[in-house]
Amino acid sequence: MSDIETLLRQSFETHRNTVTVDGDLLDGAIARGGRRTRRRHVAFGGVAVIVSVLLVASLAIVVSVRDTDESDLVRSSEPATWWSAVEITDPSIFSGNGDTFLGQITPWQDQLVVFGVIQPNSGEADDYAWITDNGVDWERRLQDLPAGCGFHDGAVAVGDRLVVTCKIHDPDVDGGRIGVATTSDLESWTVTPISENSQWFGSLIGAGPDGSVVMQALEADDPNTTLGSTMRIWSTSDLVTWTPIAGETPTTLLNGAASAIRTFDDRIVVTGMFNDWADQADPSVVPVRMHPAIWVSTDGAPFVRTLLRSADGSTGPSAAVMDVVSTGSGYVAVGTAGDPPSGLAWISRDHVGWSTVTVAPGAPGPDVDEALSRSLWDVVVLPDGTLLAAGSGRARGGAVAEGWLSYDGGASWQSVGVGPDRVAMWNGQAVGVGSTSASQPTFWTWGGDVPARSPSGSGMVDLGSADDLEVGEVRWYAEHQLYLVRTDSTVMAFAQQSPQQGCRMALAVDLDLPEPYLPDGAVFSDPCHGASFALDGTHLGGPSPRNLDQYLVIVRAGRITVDITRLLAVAQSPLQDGVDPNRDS
Amino acid sequence: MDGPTQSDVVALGGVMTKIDLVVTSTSLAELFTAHSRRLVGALTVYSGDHADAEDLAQEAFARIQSSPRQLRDPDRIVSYLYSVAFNLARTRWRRERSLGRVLQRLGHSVESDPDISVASLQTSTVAATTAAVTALPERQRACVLLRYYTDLSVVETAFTLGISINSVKTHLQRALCTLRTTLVDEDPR
Repeated sequence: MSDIETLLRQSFETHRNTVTVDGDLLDGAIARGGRRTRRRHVAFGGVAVIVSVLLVASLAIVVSVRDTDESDLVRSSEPATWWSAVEITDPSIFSGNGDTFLGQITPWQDQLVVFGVIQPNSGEADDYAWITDNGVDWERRLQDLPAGCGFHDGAVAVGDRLVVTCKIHDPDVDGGRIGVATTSDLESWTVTPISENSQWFGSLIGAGPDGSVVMQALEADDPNTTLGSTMRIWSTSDLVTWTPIAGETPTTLLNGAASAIRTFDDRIVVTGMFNDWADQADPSVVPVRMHPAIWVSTDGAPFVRTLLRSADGSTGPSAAVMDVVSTGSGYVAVGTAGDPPSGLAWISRDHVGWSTVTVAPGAPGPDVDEALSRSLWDVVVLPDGTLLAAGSGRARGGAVAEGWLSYDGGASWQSVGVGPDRVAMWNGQAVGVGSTSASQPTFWTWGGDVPARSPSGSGMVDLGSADDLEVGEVRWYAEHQLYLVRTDSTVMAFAQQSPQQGCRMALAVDLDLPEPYLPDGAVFSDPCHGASFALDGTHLGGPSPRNLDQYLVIVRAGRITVDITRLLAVAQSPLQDGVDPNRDS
Repeated sequence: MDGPTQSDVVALGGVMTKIDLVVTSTSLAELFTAHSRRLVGALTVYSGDHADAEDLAQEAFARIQSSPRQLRDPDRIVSYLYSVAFNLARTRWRRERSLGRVLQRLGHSVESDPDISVASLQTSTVAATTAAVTALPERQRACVLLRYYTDLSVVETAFTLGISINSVKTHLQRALCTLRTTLVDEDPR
């Protein structure tokens, strides 16, 4: 030890022995921590690995690999991704005094309108509409809607008019009427009642055939519960005269907020969940037998209900169809079902017989709260026929918004990484909104100017058969500079460049790291900076801004193809919370 | 409106695992007992101000308490604690790095810091050493304090600060060179 090191240690030891710490400091920290838990950053709920102090190669290893590998490898810029967060002119426009929740996206009058609320830390939430005509410059409007009307249950654009749902309460009678409010400027509104006076729950509005508008609501016998309520649906072509469409659904429980009304040619399709509560011994108990369901009315005929299934037929704590699209040769619906709830797609040629495809599997936990539940919220068809779905996964304390795409009409799906949780088509391009946290909503665009590529596109490389790739195996493809791995659930392809500075990632075993310096599960290691990553690319320790960069992998007919033209959007490493805790303040 | 179920969403590269442990006030108290003096001391030298150091330490303890983390190995929370504290300190330092204020602080620290008393070394030597460390560039200062004040290894220092091992070594080398010039050469013992 050098003289100066000795001096430092001795001086510091003396200093340390004289430090006094106010005993109130801990009490204060506990009080502050308690306050902060409400606002805690959900990122902490992610891959929870403490900054590891263990993982490191010896200096000799670091130096020797560094010499051979750092010369030509520094990234010039951030890599392109499938979903890209748009840098909007005024990022604070989505923020307010509280948490922002963004909902439906509606193209309207050549503009894009995003509805949402800002929930202050105390008091009533405010409804807002955010409007843009280019995706970059946004305007925010506080909505002063007529009483009982709101965007909560969706809006539909009809020509230059925008239509939202209302519940019009009459002070003289119990209950109220279902109605709509229309506007052409987001300032003056016209309210039109539709139903007679009754008890109403939920309501949805959507576009019907030939420019008509379809309205759905639940009429209940009991003002306190939707159990046993009846789904009512009306249609109109002039927004004034509303005609009921008959149904055969006396007992429904619809999740109006998450469901959709879609129209394909002369068919109106309503998505939601169906509760066969009549099977239950005690009808007052909250039902557990929920089924994803679709109601279809063809050419004005009564609605016919079809119950869909989870992958294994189980009924879980939640189940619903959230959205449906037509692919030309059939229909693809997305939603959630099963126990634990998984993100599912259902495909059908005739909207009667449906087959179930698991897109995003949930994962069981020690108890219900700990389980990972996943759901798909929206699905759109891209101009080249590719299906793009958006959804989110939730476990206790955190959630992920993620995207999935299918090149084959919904039969197989591939993760496209992090993105929005609500999507829509706008000017021929997929756009989305999502919140990486309630205080930081984001507007996303799909693939920049480049349309999604088909499996035969120039960026796709064939990496051989999927059958002989075993779970836990890592393959290196020198010609494409990527690692291919199979995890328990999927096949992933990682770019060799490390996220930190673009050094070439090595296999941890090849670096011959001493055992105590390697965190559990480390498979990849950055020889320049010492970061390590698990088999699935999760950042385990060391300097790295995010998990390993991934390519899109498509497994079809037993063949693995990888699109090496762009990366999946990857979040900041959860370890960054330890490195930069100021992110959540 | 879908409410919070959709919106408190975070992105983790498509990978999500659960969290299953929140730092309880009990474990926080143990951590506090074991590390508060070391932490406050190091932050005092870092910032040149004892009250600032206590503020920073308190905020760091509060943050690790409010951040649910999977603490498979409780020892790792120490590294996390230092990491949070030094990032807070750096943020504050960035805010306040007007030269005048720093110099003012230095003078205050050297002349009147009541927490430094006579021990095995001369008061003046300890004060001169800590003042010289406080005067180091920010990254060098953090490295020196984590390495020699809190006795982390070079590797642990690198992980705590989120920089590479070689960077830590470089910072330490430059810092020791500076300190040798100001402390040893000018004041041979």
